[in-house]
Amino acid sequence: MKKRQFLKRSAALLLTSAVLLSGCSTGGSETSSNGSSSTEDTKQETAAEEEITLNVAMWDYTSLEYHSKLVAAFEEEYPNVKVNVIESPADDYSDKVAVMMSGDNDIDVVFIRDTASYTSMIAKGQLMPIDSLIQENNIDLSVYGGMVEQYAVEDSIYGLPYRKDIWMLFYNKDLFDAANIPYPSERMTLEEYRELAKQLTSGEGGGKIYGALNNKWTQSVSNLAMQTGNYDLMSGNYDFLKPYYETVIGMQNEDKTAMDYSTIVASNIHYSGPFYNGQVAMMPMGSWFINNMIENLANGTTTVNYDVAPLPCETVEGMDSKGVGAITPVAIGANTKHQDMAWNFVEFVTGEKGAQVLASCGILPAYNSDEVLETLVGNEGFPEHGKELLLNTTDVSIEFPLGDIWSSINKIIGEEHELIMLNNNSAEAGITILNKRVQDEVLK
Amino acid sequence: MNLRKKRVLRQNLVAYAFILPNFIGLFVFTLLPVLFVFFLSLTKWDSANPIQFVGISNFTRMFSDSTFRISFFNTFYYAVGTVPITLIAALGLALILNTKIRGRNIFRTVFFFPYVASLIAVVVVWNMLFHPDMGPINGLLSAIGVDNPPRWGASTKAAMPTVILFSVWRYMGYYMIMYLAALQGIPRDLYEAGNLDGTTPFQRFRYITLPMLTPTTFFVGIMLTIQCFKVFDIIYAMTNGGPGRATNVLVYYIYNQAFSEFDFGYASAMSVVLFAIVLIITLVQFRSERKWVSYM
Repeated sequence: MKKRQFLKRSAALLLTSAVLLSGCSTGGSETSSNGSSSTEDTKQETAAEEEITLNVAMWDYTSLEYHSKLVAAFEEEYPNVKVNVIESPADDYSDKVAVMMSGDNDIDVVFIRDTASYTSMIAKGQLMPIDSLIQENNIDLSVYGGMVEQYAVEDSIYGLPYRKDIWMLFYNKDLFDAANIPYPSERMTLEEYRELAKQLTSGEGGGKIYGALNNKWTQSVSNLAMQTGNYDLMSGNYDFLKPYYETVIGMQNEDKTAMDYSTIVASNIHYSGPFYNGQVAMMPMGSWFINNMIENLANGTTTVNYDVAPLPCETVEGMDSKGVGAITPVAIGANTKHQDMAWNFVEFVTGEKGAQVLASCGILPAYNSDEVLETLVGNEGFPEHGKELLLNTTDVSIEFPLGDIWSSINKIIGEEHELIMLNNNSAEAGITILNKRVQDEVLK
Repeated sequence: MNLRKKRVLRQNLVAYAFILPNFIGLFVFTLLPVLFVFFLSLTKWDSANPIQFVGISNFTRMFSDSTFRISFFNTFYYAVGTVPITLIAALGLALILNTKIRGRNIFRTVFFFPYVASLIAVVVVWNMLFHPDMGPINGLLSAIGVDNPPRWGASTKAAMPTVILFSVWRYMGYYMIMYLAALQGIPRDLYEAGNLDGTTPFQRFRYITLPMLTPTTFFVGIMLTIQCFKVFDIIYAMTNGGPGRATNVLVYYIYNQAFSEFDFGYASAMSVVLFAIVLIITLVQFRSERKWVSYM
């Protein structure tokens, strides 16, 4: 009797999966955008060309201005195409899209949010290799600064990037002025960073000004190391992270100059809030934060005077042109019925025209050209040294590696990162465990 | 004779026809998936590529998987912590709220409330209350002179007890209602007879109330045990298995393997193990039933 009841219960788990699958294949929340194609336009076009509906999976379509503008610009260019956006919130996007792609789907274009889901979709044959399309259409990959090649899997390219993000040190000029300290114009060593944070920290309790905020992510620590281009996060040896963890932990626990990890996690603090409020003097973050600053300066959420500098690093020698970041590829679904139009979409959003749209919103496009850079720099609220930094950073390493074992390794790094940041393990002990776990559980 | 047989058959067919709609649902959405799990546990499948048969390698893999070991241990830790405390708390509450104290209906509602409140909402509030540095609980503890208050969800040692505390708080009201119903079902004349014999209140509790409640305790014990072994929502909402792997439990690990690693074979194999564990524990509980449960 009870046995049957249990059977029922364990089946509930499976049931949930069935619900998930069916729920997502009909597309969580679908937003069909009208863009510029008014009904009259479409009517005229139908006579000449067949109307096509393109299913595009992306995150935060409604809340991110540059995503909606990008789609609208494409629809203007191709009036016979209606883009049906399948969106989900950024945090859930990779999981949602993975489930969605596993079912029978008619997704034509997929925006890729992280390397782990990218490689896993490729391994499952859900994305279409586009090497031949790149060749046929004479796409010059050099405009992407060598990053497309870093995203190749088994010598095949599965996506072109529309966005690029380079990590930099954001700082609040007002707080430097108040403390009478010169701005950090050059790249700092870890010691200099830690020392500077001490000088900038003041106050207690709710009104405390923190010298730095190292956000809760693993890449807030690992990116400082990865920018050197010397390390491999899939190697199973993470000793190179030790000086970085010791700095970050030292700032948090001994100096108390960096906002505490447990506070950020338990109070669910979004890193942008303290920076907007002028509570934080320095923050390593990706260049997308420039877009946030531009928008929030414009709408009055923040009045902080800010600028950017290169990320601190263990050594500054030979680091002049180096940086760390990621590109965000756009790929074509393997099941697409509109391959040509899907390609047109990819080509548009990753090409010059799409880049102009992104740049006008303060987002760094992956497509590189002088005109695009001028548009980007021309935004009200773009940081003073932003252009210089972008131009100097020509040698960008990718923050997370590609490979089918990465998602398992990433999970382990995340768990051990948390234990170090929460003070359950010292940096040294934590890294020893990390090395052992990755070797035992993944590399064996 | 033949006619009678026919009539019986017809009657049976009518009965089956009534069961059929429900049975189809059960078959398609419950029975088939359950059988499919047993099949999947012997395979490797990522939901896209063809299913590969791999024998028992998913099961042998568990022996060398430290995360499986940890979540296995954590599941028992959670169950052993939660079941008895919830049982005692629910019984205690029921005994108190079965007396004629003032405002008992209000209290009954108050204690039942956590069970029906939205999990996510109460978890958010708990995480704020138990914030290690800024939460009022630790503020209170330091104010009354506790030097190093627990770091609650932020430390590997205190995280599981925090989750257990939360679970007890959430579940006790529900089981309190069951105990209340059982308490009210105990015939008054038993107590009257006890009074005539000059028993103390404790003796009446020990020799009348407790034995009369054993069927409920048995039921609540089994329900709670099963509930604890399949805990997922609380972990997902409160800790995400962290810090590190300190609160990672089996179902949470199964979920992760299935829906973020897309390793359905391994996830199914772990589900089968979980099934076996709960089956054995439930059977043991049933075996022990006649030793201590009294149905008057």
